[in-house]
Amino acid sequence: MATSTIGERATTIDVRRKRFSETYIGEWITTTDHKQLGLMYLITGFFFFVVGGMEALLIRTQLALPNGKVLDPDTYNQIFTMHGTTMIFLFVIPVLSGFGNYIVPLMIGARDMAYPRMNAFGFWLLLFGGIFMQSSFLFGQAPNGGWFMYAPLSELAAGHAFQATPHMNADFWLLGTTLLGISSITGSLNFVVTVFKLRAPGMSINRMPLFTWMILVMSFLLLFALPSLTVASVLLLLDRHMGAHFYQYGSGGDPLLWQHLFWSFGHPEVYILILPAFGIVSEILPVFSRKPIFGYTFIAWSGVAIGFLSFTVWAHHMFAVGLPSIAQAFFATSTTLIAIPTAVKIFNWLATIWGGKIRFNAPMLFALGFIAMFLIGGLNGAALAVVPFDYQITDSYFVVAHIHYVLFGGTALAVFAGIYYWFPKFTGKLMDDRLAKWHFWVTFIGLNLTFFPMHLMGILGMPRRVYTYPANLGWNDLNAMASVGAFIIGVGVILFMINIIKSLKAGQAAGDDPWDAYTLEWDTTSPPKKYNFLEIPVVRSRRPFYDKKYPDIADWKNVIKH
Amino acid sequence: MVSQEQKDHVEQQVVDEQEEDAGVSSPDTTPTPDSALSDDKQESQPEAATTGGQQQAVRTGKRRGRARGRLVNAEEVMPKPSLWPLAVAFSIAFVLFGVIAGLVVLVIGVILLVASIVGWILERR
Ligand code: HEM
Ligand SMILES: [Cu+2]
Repeated sequence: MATSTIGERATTIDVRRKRFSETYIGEWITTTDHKQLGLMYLITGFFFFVVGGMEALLIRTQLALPNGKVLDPDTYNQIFTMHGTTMIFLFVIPVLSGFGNYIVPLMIGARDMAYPRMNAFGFWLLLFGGIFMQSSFLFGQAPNGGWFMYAPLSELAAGHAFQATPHMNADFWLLGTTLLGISSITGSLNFVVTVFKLRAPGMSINRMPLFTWMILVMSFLLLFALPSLTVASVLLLLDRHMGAHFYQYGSGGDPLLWQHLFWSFGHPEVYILILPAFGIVSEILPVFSRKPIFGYTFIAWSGVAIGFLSFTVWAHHMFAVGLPSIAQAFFATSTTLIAIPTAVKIFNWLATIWGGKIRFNAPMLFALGFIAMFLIGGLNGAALAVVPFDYQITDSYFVVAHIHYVLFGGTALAVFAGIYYWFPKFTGKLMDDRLAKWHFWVTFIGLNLTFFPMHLMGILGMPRRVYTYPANLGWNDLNAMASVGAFIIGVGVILFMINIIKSLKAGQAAGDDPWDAYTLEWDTTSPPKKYNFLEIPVVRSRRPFYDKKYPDIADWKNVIKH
Repeated sequence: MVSQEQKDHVEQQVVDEQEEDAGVSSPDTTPTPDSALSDDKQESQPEAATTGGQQQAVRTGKRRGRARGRLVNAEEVMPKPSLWPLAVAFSIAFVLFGVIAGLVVLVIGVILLVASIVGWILERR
């Protein structure tokens, strides 16, 4: 061969054929690096955010005017079901685990997650689970029973030869969420072990950054909540395919069993979706107020309290099914109780900002927006906990308003805050702050325009999940407003994507620590090397990197000794 | 090995007060040879320690009191890439798809799953 001489000479300076894991594609699909996997989670999550967002725009287009003709009723069912399912299971959870994967090991001064290959496994399951669910559209049989897939509607036939969901629609949902559940279980186990076993020397539990705390609580919630969803799904699959009758009243089963099993997963789930967002905000507020977090212990332990309480409130989703009044009293009380630790956090955040030297960069704006919007969501949640009130507006657009204030105004804003905050760490580049502020204000206006009118629609009696409405019920203007708002949010998302692309291409160099931050992820290069830290840092307070940068006024020398 | 070393960090929380940051990070440290792990890396390590340009050398190991960490090649401590997680995940998805797609898909899925689990277990790290 002509090249053999070159080849021979080359071998002496160590040129060999690249292994598969060293090619560009091979590197991505064989990686076990927590940072790369974290980014893959984030990218996948945002891909599905766009998918779910398009579905939302379809819904709002259909509802913009009375007697809409954009979607037929059956497609409409599939679209709203897949919107909710996608946003919850394929956007929020992946994006939050993406942050967790990337940031937690760095924050606690570790070199990777405890089980790197299991970490990769969790990601791939998520991706295949997501593709699996969305592929249902190719069969024209996307899930159509709502994101909570109530039985007996989700049965093949609900007894008496009455057809419910005869095709594969529900199967896609049941099997898909099972796949995603396995993914979340492996991810959570990994987080728990990582946080308990791999913290840098000196980082006691009480010095752990709050984001790490919240990821830890989230992981426990997932571990304890997911089994009941999996059980519920398996029972329903048995009903559908093996002739069992768990949820069929006519044969001695009970459809309410589904609701109990689903919501004893479902309510912890909604806190799974918000706790890491609390964590992100608890990291950003102190850095941009130039103060330590106020009431660290309260924020951490109120997170744990929320975790426990979240298992005791599930039947507040079922007030209207006719629970015994003692049960209603119990669940109304526990639901109201959970508002207490939640409020504790809000007060702590406010006290953190209070008197601080505030810098209004994009991460801070989004974090502040989070507090305001989440407050509204928490308050209308507390209204829903009042049983007689809930009787009136359950299954109406009021509930939709609540969900979106907590999940969009809450979690999604916090996710954007996190992206703007950690993007420099991920890439070594700053994002365009001006464009980011535009993104914030457009989103903020859009989201209030979309979701605030939904309170009123609900009170005026508009049920959720109707595919259209007649013109004479007084809902027209509110719906039109909400639809305009939805497209404004869409513009915000486009601004965000432009910003990402622009910053990746030509972002200003960020340096290792652009925000003068406090936690260990900033005490390494941006982006960090594979092994994160040349030397594992030693921790003496809750703000280890601050201590290192300002040795004279280090926390551990001064007042704060933990 | 990875887990063993990292575990040591966690257990050794005593370092805290007595250890000067400067002491730990001083670049003139000579790596302590560790027969079990670094025999085959002996030659490359001293350079790694001094040239600094080679970021592959990371400090790891025990920090009892003022004892210094050991320099090892980063590739030793870091997890290796692997294709098996993807393979197992794909097979599980295949199996579950088999539940609705029929027995043939299910059987293929189970075979894939068993094969990829065996592959994962047998992979040398
Ligand atoms: C302040 C604490 C909260 C209280 C008191 C509260 C209360 C409630 C109640 C009573 C319902 C049932 C309404 C009905 O269906 O009639 C509900 C629904 C819901 N909540 Fe909350 N909530 C709170 C916080 C949150 C948070 C933090 C999240 C998520 C991040 C959340 C997400 C949801 C969702 C998704 C539903 C609707 C489920 C559905 O029917 O599709 N809530 N909430
Ligand atoms: Cu709930």
